[in-house]
Amino acid sequence: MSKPTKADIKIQQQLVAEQRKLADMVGSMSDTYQLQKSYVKEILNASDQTLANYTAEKKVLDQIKKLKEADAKVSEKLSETSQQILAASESQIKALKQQNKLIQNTKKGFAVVNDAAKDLVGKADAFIKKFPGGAYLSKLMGLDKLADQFENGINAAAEAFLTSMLQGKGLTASLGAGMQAFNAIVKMNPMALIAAAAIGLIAAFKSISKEAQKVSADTGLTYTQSKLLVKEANKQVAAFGNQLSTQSDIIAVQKEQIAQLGVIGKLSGEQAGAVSDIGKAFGYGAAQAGKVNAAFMAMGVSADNAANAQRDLAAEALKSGVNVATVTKDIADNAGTTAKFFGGNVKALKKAAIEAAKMGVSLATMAKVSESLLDFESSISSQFELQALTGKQMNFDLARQLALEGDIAGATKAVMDQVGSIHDFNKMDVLERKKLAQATGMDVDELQKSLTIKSKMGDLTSDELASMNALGLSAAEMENMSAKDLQNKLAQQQSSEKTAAAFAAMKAQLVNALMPAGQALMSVFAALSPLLKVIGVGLKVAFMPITLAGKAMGALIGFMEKFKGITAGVLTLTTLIIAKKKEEAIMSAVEIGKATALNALKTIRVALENASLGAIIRQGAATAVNLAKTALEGAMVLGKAIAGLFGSFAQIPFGIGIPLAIAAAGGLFAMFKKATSVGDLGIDPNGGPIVSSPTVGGIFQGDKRDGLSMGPSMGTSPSAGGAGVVNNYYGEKDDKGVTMQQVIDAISNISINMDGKELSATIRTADSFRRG
Amino acid sequence: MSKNNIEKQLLEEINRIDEGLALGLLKWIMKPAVKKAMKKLGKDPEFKAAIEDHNYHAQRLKDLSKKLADHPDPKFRELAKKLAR
Repeated sequence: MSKPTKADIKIQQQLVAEQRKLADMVGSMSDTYQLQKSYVKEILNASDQTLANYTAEKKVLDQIKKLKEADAKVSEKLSETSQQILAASESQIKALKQQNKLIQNTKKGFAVVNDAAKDLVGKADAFIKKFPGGAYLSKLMGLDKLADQFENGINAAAEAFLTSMLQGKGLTASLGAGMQAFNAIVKMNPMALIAAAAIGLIAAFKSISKEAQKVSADTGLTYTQSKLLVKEANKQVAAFGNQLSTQSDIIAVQKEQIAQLGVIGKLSGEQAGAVSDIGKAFGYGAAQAGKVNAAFMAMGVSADNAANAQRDLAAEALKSGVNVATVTKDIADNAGTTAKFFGGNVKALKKAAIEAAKMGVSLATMAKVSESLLDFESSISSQFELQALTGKQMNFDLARQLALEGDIAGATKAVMDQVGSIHDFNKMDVLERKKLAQATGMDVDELQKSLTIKSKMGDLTSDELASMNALGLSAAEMENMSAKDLQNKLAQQQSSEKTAAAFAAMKAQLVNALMPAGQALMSVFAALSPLLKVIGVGLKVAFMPITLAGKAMGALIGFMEKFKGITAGVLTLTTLIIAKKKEEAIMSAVEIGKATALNALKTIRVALENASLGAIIRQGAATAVNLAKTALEGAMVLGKAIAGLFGSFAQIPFGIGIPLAIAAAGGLFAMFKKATSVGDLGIDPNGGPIVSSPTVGGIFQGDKRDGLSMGPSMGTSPSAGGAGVVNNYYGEKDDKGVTMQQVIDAISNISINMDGKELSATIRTADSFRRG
Repeated sequence: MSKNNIEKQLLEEINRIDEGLALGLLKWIMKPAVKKAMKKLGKDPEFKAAIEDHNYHAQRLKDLSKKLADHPDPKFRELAKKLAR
């Protein structure tokens, strides 16, 4: 192979550089592709993203142009990598274009449905908004957000459908995926819906109940009466029978009625609504209207007539240019104390109240003036004293006559006419003013206020008085209007109050609609009360076995306490069974162990005879395997013993057999576990050691001075150790080629010690050699 | 606005139901139309062709990126990773 020339290297370097440029461009396109892929997620918003798509596409096209330029540069020296990159870029461009096409097609397909839904929502919204309070209702129903929520659902469906189609899942599967995504937009848990509905019903009931409790507390009515009153008010509001009143206004009228008259049922919901409307329209409120109505009714008129009289009163006060609230307040506060002057004549009371307002006094002041005038001796005496003091001629005869007739307004007016103007009053000195007050039956300040108002009001024309009400009506127009028309006119001015009343009506309708269900639900709870008791009993019964089991356990413990001897007997029996089984298990294990050990000894002997160390070691290993097998067999015996335990204990009655068997098995395991294998063992004297022998059968404890030695061939005599034996320990490796004679020579002159004590001075090799 | 927390929660719950109900109702009305639109789109030959075409090119892109994945130059291997996404 010839060495590359400088020119070749340069071309190669250029090629790599061009490839790198291509790679950068394709990488950038890949990012664009990813970007476009993300647009799939917002199909319907693709209109906004079309621009982004086109921008992305333009970016791609620019890069294609660059690629083509790069292509031209590398065309002559096009390598395989360059070809791959260019092919990839081509595929990417095509995939991008198709993706954009898919997005637009999907958008077009779903936009039809979305537009139809939006149109539907728009129409529903417009329809609902035509009703009073419709905007509120629309918001309440979530119509304002509905179109957006639906569009989200459509987007989710389109995304799932398109993704599934792109994954090649087929039309049916993609349709399923799309519909699933669409359905997922609102997945209302039916139980949550029921629970929420129940909560709503209870809330409806609660609102009535709460209001009723408040009425009950304020009026002293019973809860049932109060609830009836609240329901009635609610019904009236729901019926759209009022222009301005809400439920609380109607209740306020009823409360005043009850407070003033002390009885319930004098005013129907409808009448209370009408009274409340008068009060609200004329601006003095429902509560005051209730008081006025009660005052009129206390004079013996019917509820309807009282309401009409109140409307007339308010209208006349308005037309007179006086403050309606002052007039009605005056009646509400003083109707009772001035009743003797009117004798049930509501018209006279009305007139007097308006006149009082015009003169700047109250009914109470007018009544006081009349009372003073009718105290003839004192009144006349004061009158003459005043004349003497001021030098001014005053005649209260007309006033006295009017007072006697019960026309307190006329009497007061006659007195005030005699007094003169505010200027005359102001010219008087203190004593004169005091005497004037005494003669008229009024206080000095009342006199001053009244004279000032008289002076001001007298300057105003009728139209000026009318314009004070800001109704945009002339005095003549107002004069020609009926009280009812005037009320309507005033009500029209109160748009916010009307809206509030419309909302209240809607709310009342809702509450009225839900109320029976709410009440039924509460009745269900009430009815459930005994059922809950039954459930309680049921639960008690359900838990009875546990209770009884506990009691039985207690009884069992008591029984065991009482019959300790019997229990002890049972336990002794159990212990014996355990001991027997354990013994059997250990015995079996020992027997097998013995047999294996004998086999092992035989093997050792054969090995020694053969004097082959390697063979001995191998056989030793085999022995170890056998020992392991023995252990396994021992375990099997233990398993059998446990099975036997369970079999035996199962016979024990009262259900205590099995737990005892478990305990016994546990004990058995523990015993096996506790028996630590030590090989040879030496225990110093003064220990009082305890040993157990399965062969002899028993547990033995030595004297406290006794020591203990454990080893092969021991135990033949209590006072002597066993004969020394050759252990199968060689300490040399197989390849040393040690002969039997060497082994015998090595061990023949050593003494055997254990725990520092000499067991044997020599090993009788010849003798041991013979045995077996 | 109610000062009572329970009442506030109830109101929120009721508002949520109202919205859910209205949307649920609209969903119920529009469900067949959505299904129909999907069916129509799925059967549209242009749409189907666009999907096939897109998938073909996307697959080709993957295949090519696999080839580039073993390129000795790390820059190209990085590019292969990008393309394979």
